[in-house]
Amino acid sequence: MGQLIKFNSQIILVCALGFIVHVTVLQFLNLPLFDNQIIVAYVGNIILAIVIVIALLKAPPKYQNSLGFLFLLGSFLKFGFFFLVFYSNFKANGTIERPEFFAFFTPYAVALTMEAKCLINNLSE
Amino acid sequence: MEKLIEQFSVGLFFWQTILFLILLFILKKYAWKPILDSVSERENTIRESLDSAENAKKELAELQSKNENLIAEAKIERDALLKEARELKDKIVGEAKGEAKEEADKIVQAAHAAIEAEKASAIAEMKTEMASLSISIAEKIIRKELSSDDKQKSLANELVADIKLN
Amino acid sequence: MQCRSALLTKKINYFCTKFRNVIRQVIMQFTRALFFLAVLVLSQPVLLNASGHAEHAADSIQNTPIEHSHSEGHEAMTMKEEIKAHISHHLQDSYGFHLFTDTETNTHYGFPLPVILIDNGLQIFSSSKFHHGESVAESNGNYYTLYHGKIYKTDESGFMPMHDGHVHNEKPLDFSITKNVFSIMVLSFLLVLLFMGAAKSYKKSLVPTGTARFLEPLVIFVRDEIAIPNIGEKHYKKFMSYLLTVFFFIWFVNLFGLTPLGINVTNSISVTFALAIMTFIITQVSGKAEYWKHIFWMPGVPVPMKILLAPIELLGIFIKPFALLIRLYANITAGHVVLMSLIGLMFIFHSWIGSSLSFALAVSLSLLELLVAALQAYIFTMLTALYFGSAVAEHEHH
Repeated sequence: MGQLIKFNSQIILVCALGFIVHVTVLQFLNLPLFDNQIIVAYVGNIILAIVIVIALLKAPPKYQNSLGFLFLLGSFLKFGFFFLVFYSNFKANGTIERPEFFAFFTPYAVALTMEAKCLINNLSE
Repeated sequence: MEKLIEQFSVGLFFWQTILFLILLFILKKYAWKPILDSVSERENTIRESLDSAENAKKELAELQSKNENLIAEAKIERDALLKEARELKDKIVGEAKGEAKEEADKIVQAAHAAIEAEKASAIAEMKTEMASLSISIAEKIIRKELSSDDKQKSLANELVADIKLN
Repeated sequence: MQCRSALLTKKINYFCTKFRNVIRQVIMQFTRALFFLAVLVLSQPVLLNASGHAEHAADSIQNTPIEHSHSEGHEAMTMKEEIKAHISHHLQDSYGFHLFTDTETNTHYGFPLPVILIDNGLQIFSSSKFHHGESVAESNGNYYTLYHGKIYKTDESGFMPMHDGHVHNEKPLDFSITKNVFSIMVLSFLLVLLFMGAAKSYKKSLVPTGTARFLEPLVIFVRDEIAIPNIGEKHYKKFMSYLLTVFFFIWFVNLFGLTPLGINVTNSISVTFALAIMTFIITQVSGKAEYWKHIFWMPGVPVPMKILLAPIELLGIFIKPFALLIRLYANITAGHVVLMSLIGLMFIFHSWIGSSLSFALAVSLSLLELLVAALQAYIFTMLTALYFGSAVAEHEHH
């Protein structure tokens, strides 16, 4: 349980930091701050990461060998999330622009790294 | 790449997946399992028969060496028996010989004793015979010689002395 | 990775030496094979010639607006273009099993197959309704037309608006029993019959009889040369069914692709994709903790290297099956294209020497394709086994 709480606080902290940096960069580039569903992207990625990590940590012993597979399934879940929630909006003007891309990719990359770290810790046990 | 994606047909993908899975399950149940089982069973049988042949060979060799040992042992035993028998025979013969000798000795001794006794009795008989003969001779002589008393007396002494000397 | 590719090269070398013996045998029976292949190759130009003309005829008859705009081009269609069209037509899937066409009377020999579309419910009708792309098919008030081998939704007149050379009509979700699907069904059925027959012969005695005597060495080859060396004695059993099925499926499909029936299952990307994705899923599902550790946190290398390797390895697990599907697809497609081009050359040369030369080339290429059919099946199965092996490997060095 301790591990889960540790992870949750860590991911929220890191994502909040990432969000602040992200918004600051947007501010410097004179771009709209809370556009492109950026809040949804951050919150969604955090929730998905927590769900995946719960699955990883609470997996019954039978599936201890398949943790990596669960991780991959989680990534597919995220793709699904992206295609359902963001893709159509991003593609509305024909192309995915750079701010749109980073609005989703930054929290995605941060959450993925955190998950991978958690998985590695679990695998190394 | 573009062309490849364009060529991709969802229908064909769907059918290939379904048909392949069906094929996989049918073949798994009705072909691969029996074939692989039989093949491995046959391999096991071959391995086992080779092993058992090897074992049989080993056993045979063991048996042979055991036989040889047995024969050698038997030989030793026979020799021992023979030796014992010979010893026994020698002993028996020796014993018999000893007994026979003893017996013979006894017989000889007895014969000796008998002979001694015969001799003694013969001598005694002879003595008495001779005594009576001498007496009769002496009587006759005496009758002739002993006409006088002196003569008789000297003769009698002489005779007695003679007997003692004998 | 390096060690794996080295292993792969070793495997392929080994296979080549193994196959050298097979080649020797093939050369022994060369005369017989040559005769067979000559018949095979000879029968293809007949079909080529016939259907090439047929397509020409069919295209010029077609009364859709687009075809009209192209009709002048068709007048000038040379033999070269005809052959090119035939080859690209052959490489495509089709909705009917088309054997050949009599150009004189414009009659098609073959049989139609069911078309199954998901468009306002299930639409099922016979592909004969298309009349080989000449007319619009109607099903429950929906109209469909065939354009460049794909089904498009249209109206009663068969109207197809074009923008910059692309058709913008809606494509319904297509689950038709196409020629490829039909071929897969028939081949699967054949495989089931063949191997069930072989399995039956083991019931009587452990010594194989009949077809089993021929098939058993192949089954043992897959087990002893592919499965056990790559996966290991301990885990190979649970993958055997998949490996055997994949091997024989690809091999038989490739072999039937060489017949004049014009089956081209393994040169459609969907089929190789389906096979590769099954390999991918089985690999990932059976991956042990050790396997994932090697992907996410490679043991035995410094930490920066670990961080660098993780995304590469993660990408690698997708690239590997992708390479698998492209390799099979490209090899078989290339073989077909080259073979059919050589056959086409016979008509282009129109001379005694040129045509017989390309005929000889086509025969020897068929021979090579025969080998490639088995080789590709072997490589696909071998690589699949290699991936399974890496998924279940237990590394002793600790």
